[in-house]
Amino acid sequence: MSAQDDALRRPAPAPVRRHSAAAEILQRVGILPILIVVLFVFFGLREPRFLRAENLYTVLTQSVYLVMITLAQTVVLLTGGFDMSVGSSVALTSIVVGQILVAYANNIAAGTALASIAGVGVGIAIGVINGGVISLFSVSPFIVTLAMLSMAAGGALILSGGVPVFGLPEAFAGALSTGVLFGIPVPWLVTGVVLAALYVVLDWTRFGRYIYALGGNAEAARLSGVPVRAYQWLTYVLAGAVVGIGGVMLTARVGSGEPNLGATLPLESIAAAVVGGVSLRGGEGTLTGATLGAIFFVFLRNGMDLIRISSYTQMIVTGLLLVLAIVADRFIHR
Amino acid sequence: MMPLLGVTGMTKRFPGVVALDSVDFEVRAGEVHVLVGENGAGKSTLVKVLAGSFPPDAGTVSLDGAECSIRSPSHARAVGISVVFQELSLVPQMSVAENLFLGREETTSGLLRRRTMARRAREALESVGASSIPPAILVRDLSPAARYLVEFAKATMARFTVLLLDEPTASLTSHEAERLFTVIDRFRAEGKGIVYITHRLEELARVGDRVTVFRDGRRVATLPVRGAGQEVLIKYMTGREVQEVFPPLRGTPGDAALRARGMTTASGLRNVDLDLHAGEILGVGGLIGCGKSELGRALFGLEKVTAGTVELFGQPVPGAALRPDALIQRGVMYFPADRRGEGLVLNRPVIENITLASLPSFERAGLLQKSAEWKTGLRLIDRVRLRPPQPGARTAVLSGGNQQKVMLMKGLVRAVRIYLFDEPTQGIDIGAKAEIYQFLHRLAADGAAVLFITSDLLELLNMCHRMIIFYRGRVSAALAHGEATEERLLRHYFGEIQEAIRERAG
Repeated sequence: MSAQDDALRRPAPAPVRRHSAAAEILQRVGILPILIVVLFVFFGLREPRFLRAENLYTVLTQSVYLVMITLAQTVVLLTGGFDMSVGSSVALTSIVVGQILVAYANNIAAGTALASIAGVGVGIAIGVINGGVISLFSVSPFIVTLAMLSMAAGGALILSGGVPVFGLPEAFAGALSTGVLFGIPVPWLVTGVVLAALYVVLDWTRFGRYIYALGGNAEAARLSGVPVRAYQWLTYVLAGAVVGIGGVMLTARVGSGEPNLGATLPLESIAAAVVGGVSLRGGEGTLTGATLGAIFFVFLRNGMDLIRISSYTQMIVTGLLLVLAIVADRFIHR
Repeated sequence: MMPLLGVTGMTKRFPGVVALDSVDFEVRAGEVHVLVGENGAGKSTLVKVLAGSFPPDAGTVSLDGAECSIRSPSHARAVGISVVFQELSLVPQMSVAENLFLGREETTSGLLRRRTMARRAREALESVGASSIPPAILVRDLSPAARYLVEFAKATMARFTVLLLDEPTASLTSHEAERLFTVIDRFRAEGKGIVYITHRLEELARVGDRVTVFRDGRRVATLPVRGAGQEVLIKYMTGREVQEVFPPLRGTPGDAALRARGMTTASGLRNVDLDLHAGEILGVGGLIGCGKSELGRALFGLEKVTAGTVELFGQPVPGAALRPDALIQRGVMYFPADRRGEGLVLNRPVIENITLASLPSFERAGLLQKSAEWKTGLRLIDRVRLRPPQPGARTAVLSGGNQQKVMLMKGLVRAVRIYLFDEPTQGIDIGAKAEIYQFLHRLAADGAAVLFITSDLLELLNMCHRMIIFYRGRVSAALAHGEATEERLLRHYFGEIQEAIRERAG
């Protein structure tokens, strides 16, 4: 043991913690468990169909799209950013995918492959632009991605002439929407792969550490030698790729290229992430929480459909939940 | 005699620290009561509670004998407590007069009475000895000292019975400080009660009547200024003799590790020459705003350098390589004064902060080797005696001293040969301070070059092989360990020697 070790071995005062047990639990798991219990009890009592196995299975399959977009949103939120362009990015992806599939109608295999690659490419390209502008010019992610929302939506409408792209080959939807591989529905499988990949990135790579550090304290990251701009940029590219995958999958599900697809996704994905415990101030949140948050939202919508609450009222409920979630976030992470 | 202001059993806790621990305190009419103590001892917290910035967890406040719980800053003002904080509350884009009347504008049927306000602003400035500041000038065009005087005028414009001053002379020259003391003398003669926080023990005799010493959130002693020598106060403040806190200086400096010539920055450094040797602790002192903090930032590439050269181990560093990530690669590490704001990712675990600057060395095939990382973390945590010794603990729950240790550990994971510390002991308790002193000594003894920026005179005098003093962005003095005295340092702080030379020459 060196002299320094000796010197540093003086007793230091113990840290003082001051949290009530309830606050501690809330801090650890967030408000989501409470909401989930309330949801299942409420709709389970009101509408027996809600808890039936086939309903649960259907809703889970429906929820994977919001899950994927929420995961992309989460990665960006963790850096302290926002991505408002996820919805129109999905729409543009959908049109590009649809048009390529129609153009390759006589070679479905090649068309499907090419459309899928191009669809993800659209998402990546949008991520490159978002992240590039945000990181190089140090401007507000909210405004940049809001502008991108408008531009990508405009692009989708121009490409499609404002009308859906019909005539997509059955095989495309068959493969990506209703297909089953190794006994697992393809949408579940794709989402599982995305989730696993993001988990590895966030928990087991330098990139993931830097994402959390950027959101937690960007200045501390910079002073630790982290190339902050490069990683901020890369985060939007990663999110863009996931949005692109989500866009391809959603196109397969609706069976046509839709210029208005995903209009509600920006708000829903942020709400789902925040309900799942992701902090809007960055640096805090988990993929598991975000995933559960997204599933919660889709179950909520299903429950409201079943007891015949109109979709207009549902929009109000979504907004209210988002407000509730950020207020709770404020209290928990004060 | 009934005190003007009485505080009984005041307690205030923050996550990770008890800032005030059942403190009793009083101020009499016509008294200047000085508060001294180390950073983080609780002085500022007491003032903030009295100012209504936040409520206490326990304890009572009485004014003129009547109990009174202060609910908010405006309530504090309403009951006659005026405060001048260190962090100024002026709006830079507004004029001096507009700032003075902010929130209490004078109006006639809803319209501003601008002329009356300008006149009254002039009077208020005159009454604090700042008649040279025109009321129409924008605050952003004023020097820090002038801003302070405006803030002071603002606090004393309204009727008050108790005035709280948080380090009023920190940004003032000795001449400006003397004018401030005259104003304070007048308030004392008028029977006001004044609470005066300072780090400058030499001011006590000039301004104070009684002095109260705080340590670790407790009131340790209250005594008349006349009976309070500096040695006595330091003993109360630190809980030990001066010789116990500072280990003896060892070792002899070697070759130059870092050399700067003619360094000039947009932030105000002018033509700074600097040599930092291996095995050396070089102290950097001066007043707040003198440029000492900017020096550390500039050497780590955080300020825009407009002229000058930097060499590391004899190798010139091109301007483009003067940035944190490139400098860390070359063995330089900077530890900011604001560890919570700039040094640590508070919401992440301790371990992730320790290794944040060194992740590539824990990678294999692109994946982090968490077990290796954890092992390194545990070894270092044991070495610096971090409390709690848990790599997984959220950094935010640690005490100030332990957070500081987490930040220092960053510089132990990878090979660092030049350490740039900005106020490494600010806001931490004396026990942790002594540990950090040992830590710095050990780094130097192992051959590292240590730049030690500090506002603490005792640290300069006792910790450093050599020291340089900044005054208005320039190096005003360079002294060796043996030749520095407190008096001598302070004179350089205020640039008085230079000014004397200039006056004689002119």
